[in-house]
Amino acid sequence: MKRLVLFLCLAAFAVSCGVSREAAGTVVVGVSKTGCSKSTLGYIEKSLRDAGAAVVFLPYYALYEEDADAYMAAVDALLIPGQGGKDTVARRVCDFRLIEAAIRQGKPILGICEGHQEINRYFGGTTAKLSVTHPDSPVKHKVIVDGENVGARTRAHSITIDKSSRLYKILKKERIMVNTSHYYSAYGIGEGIAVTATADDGVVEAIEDGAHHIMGLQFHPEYLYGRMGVKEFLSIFKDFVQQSREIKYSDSGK
Amino acid sequence: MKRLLIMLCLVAAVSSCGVANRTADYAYKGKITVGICKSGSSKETLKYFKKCVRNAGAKPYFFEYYATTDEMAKEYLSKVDALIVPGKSGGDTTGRNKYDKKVIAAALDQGKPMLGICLGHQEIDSFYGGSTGSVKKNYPESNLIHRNKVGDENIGLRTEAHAINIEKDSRLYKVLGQERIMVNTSHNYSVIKVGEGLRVVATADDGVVEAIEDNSRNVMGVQFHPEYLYGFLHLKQFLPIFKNLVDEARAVRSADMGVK
Repeated sequence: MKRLVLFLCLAAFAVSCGVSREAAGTVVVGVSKTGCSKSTLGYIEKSLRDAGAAVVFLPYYALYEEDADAYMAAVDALLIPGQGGKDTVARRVCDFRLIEAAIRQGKPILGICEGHQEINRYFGGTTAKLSVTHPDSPVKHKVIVDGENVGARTRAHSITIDKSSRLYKILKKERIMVNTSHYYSAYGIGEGIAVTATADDGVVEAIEDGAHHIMGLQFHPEYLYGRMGVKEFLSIFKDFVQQSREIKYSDSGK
Repeated sequence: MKRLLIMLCLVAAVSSCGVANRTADYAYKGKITVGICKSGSSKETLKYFKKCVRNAGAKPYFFEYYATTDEMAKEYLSKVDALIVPGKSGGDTTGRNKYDKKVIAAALDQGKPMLGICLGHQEIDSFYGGSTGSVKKNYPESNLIHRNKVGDENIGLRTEAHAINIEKDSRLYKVLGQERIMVNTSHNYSVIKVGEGLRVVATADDGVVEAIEDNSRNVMGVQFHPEYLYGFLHLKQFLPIFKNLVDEARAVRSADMGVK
């Protein structure tokens, strides 16, 4: 009996060694940085770092397909943030190339705000202005106080999350309050994209494409965690990094 | 076995009588929660607040972030029985001057006692219509050091730096029990114009305002840092400042529940 117990302990130890080695595997997340404000990039870096990833800011627009392929080959996942800084004109075209390359290479994508809308558009969806599609909505998608846009640092409104979604598995809540800062939203939904969360006025707040390991969020988890310190939202980045890790290291095992 | 059970029941019954008697003094038997604006405070400062509030018999509740809207401020205050508005000591301090007004307004609105420390004390004064000014400019002849940094070390915060004189008919005097007491210090600005409804209850020897009160409303502001005096220097005479805040909150709760 004693020997059996000893053997089981050793076996458990051996297995856990293997498990921890995989869990410790490095993940490098590429962030499409051009067009983002410095503060946003800071919060993204903090969120990804605290989620256990190394962060690489893709130096400039992937103007050519070869650039996009090379960038994506150097990283394990792609994060496309929101727009808020200068130099935003070429975002659309170049981020499409990055999305394409990421899908070709089978790497996960997380889109935030404008990034989330870009993902939707890549799959054939459309973006529309909130004042046109949801006029007179009681939900505030932009919060301006004393002339300052504070929506990104405010728990502004609730979203309802689909129980069958990955986002629900991550946050473990059907209803949660998020921040907000947008005049547009994903309106016509792209092919293969599922809407996984909405605000009370129906505005799309999150999308997923499980087949391609893609998630888009209209709100700003990097501000909720990075600036406001709401730990729940770190789980989104942890899941993104862990997913990348599993894909990366399962491939090498084959 | 049966006898043991009966014995245990009797013991439980007797001891619960005792418990009921002890808590009969307070109509509200639950723990008081003290809300604290955490953004703009360093980890060390927050650690001391935890210690001060807990040792004063209450539970600290750190507001997740600045109350960037009035609704957020209202919601934060609805979860607590009292409010502490701290000084600036680290982290994201950009919203302090702008958003602390909202929690101060909500606390006054909901009739909850409030303690302002350093910048918080100045913000309360501003809220009442007062204003602050540079210590050096307004007290050029002063030979007291109100801010003492040696390299990176904020010495003034961690020592008994100078004395303050407390008005005998103030709540602060009742709380500390002394007319003259040594406090720490860390500020370049101080209250110059006192807001309407507030009175100065303590000054340093050079005249710099060190504490204010609104006696009609459970509001107190101190320029010094009792959380470091008790939390870091372990000076027990400063814990009553926090105990007083908690007792006032308890009195407000009892009044709310209709018990005298």
